[in-house]
Amino acid sequence: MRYLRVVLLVFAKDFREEIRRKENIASSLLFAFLSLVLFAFALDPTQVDLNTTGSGLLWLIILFAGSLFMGASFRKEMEGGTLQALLLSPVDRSAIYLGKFLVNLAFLLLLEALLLVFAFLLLDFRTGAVLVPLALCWLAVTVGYAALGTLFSALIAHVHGGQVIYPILLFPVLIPLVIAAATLTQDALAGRPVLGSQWLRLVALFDTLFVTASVFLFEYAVEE
Amino acid sequence: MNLRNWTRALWALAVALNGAALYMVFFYAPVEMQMGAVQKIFYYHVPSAISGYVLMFLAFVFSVLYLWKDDPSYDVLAHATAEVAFLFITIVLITGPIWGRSAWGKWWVWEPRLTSALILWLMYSAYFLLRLFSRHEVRTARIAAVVAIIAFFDVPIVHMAITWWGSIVHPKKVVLEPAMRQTFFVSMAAVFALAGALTLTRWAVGRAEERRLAQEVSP
Amino acid sequence: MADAAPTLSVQDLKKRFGYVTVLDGVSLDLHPGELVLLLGPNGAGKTTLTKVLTTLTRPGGGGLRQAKDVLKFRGAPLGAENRSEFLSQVGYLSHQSFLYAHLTPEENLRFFGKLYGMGDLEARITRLLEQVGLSSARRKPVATFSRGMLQRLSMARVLLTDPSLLILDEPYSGLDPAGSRTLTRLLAGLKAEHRALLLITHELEDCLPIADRVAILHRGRIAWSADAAGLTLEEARARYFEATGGEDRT
Repeated sequence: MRYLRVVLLVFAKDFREEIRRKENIASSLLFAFLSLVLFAFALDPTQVDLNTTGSGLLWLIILFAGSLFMGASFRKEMEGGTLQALLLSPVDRSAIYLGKFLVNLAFLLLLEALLLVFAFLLLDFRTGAVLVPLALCWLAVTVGYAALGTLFSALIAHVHGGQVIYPILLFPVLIPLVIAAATLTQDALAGRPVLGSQWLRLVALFDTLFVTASVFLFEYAVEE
Repeated sequence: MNLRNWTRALWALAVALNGAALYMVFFYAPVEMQMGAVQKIFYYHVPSAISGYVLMFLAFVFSVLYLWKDDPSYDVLAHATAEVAFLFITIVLITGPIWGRSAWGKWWVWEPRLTSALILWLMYSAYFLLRLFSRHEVRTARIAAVVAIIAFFDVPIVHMAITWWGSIVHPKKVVLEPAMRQTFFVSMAAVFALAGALTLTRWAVGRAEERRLAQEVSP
Repeated sequence: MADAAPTLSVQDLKKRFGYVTVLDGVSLDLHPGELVLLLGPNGAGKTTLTKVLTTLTRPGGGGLRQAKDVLKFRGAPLGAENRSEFLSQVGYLSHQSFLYAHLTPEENLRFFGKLYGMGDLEARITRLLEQVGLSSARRKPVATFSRGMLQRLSMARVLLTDPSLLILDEPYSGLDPAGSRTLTRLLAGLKAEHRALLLITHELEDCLPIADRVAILHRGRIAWSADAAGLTLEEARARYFEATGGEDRT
């Protein structure tokens, strides 16, 4: 299908660009690592155990580091006016959105995987047998995060000082996801079943609602 | 009767009703047994919350209309209703803790309805911050409209999440004696009238501002 | 010459941003093989006009109603159904490069070529890069290019999709005399290939010889338009001065 091909084309172009650029990926990943180190200093490990009550902290790091990357998603298309070039092409505009969404999703998943590794190395965070259900929960949450992150990135691409306002705009709307992510993470680590959890259903509702809304609103977000 | 007259009439009504409401709150309604005089803040706290939500819904509707019709008058309406909604949510966040302090001993407790109001407050703060940052952009109105729509869609999900997450129960349902019920109706009418008057005035200010801007830009 | 429907026809186009009217009734026809020059002082609405013509922004706005056929593509009203087809036929060249700095010319062209669904892409890319003299740089990241090279690659990108309508916004700016001559020759060639061209410019000397019509946009309206045949440079300049109320000289 032509639509799908366009989505993948935009995805591939953006992917290649980010690999060449390196700065967005590097700064985001480094920030995540730095945050973990800071948490180690700022928090007393005897009081805050990442393996139980502290696991929500990981999601805070994903939020901050992820927004560093996603915020640039459309802003970088302002260089050379390539956003206009994309909008001038004979493609469904929502396909452009989905291509970018997939790049952001892919990066966030990479970030999360690396964060799990860093957390294991630095703070002895172990998932053990629950890695699979944990990963599934994290994937579900990440879809919602990437969906709104991509839309908002398009919204503030033209705005001066958009990088500053991007997290302030995005994070309040994501609070239900943050709560869900923290709860699901804690439940998974405690061995409690998560796949039938009401929280996962909430995340699924969030994802469906906001991917749909974003696909639809993207056209308005980028219209001149 | 034109809009300015309606606005004036509504202000007159609001002043009258609020006067009546305040009188009834302090001199007519009985003091509630368990919570004492502080409970009386409920007469303004609850209607403020309702007004905030209704105005937020209106802001959403006007945002949708703006995107659909590309007519700036809808944007002015969306901005006005969002601002007054924000005002009332702020009132909720102030009156809530005052009530809560005497009910729970702490200024803030993470109970569901207050917490939801807090998140709404954060979302709308961001909305206004965005308007501030992009006020010189041609596309300000469109960006704001998208944000208002997303924020509104999030409201039910925020409620669900906070309710499941929150632990402490909202102050027990106050059983309303007739005198209290009457007072409550009056205070509700008073707050709604005030909300209406504020919205109309803010709308008028918004329209005048747009006209002034339009004149500045045109040669 | 006007036996077929114009490639793009504009009828009484109005555009408002908020409460500010930028275009106040513009009518224009662009026929295949025709080159139309659009002149106008800054703020006249030229950029806005190109944005509407390229569907980057909707006609009307600010509560203004516009007829369905305010814009017509090959005789049919431009709407959601034929927007894709229309865009596949439009080439837009502006002061922005429309290129990805971190990709090579090859990768840029390949991306846009595939986006537009162009066939025989590799051969086309090679040919175009030769045409604009960038074959040797085909694998260097665009970020390293000089301004002149960027302009040439931008042109290659526009020509890649074989557009039947070209809208060029100040293409002569920043070009030295040799570059200008090359551009004029290129434009004449495109005309001969039966494409419709809309050229927004201040540099009348370079392109008046190959123009078919001249139009002047002032305060959102076409203040004056005429056939370019027999129009001298002095006359054109005089008309421009008149039409813009003495505000600007070109």
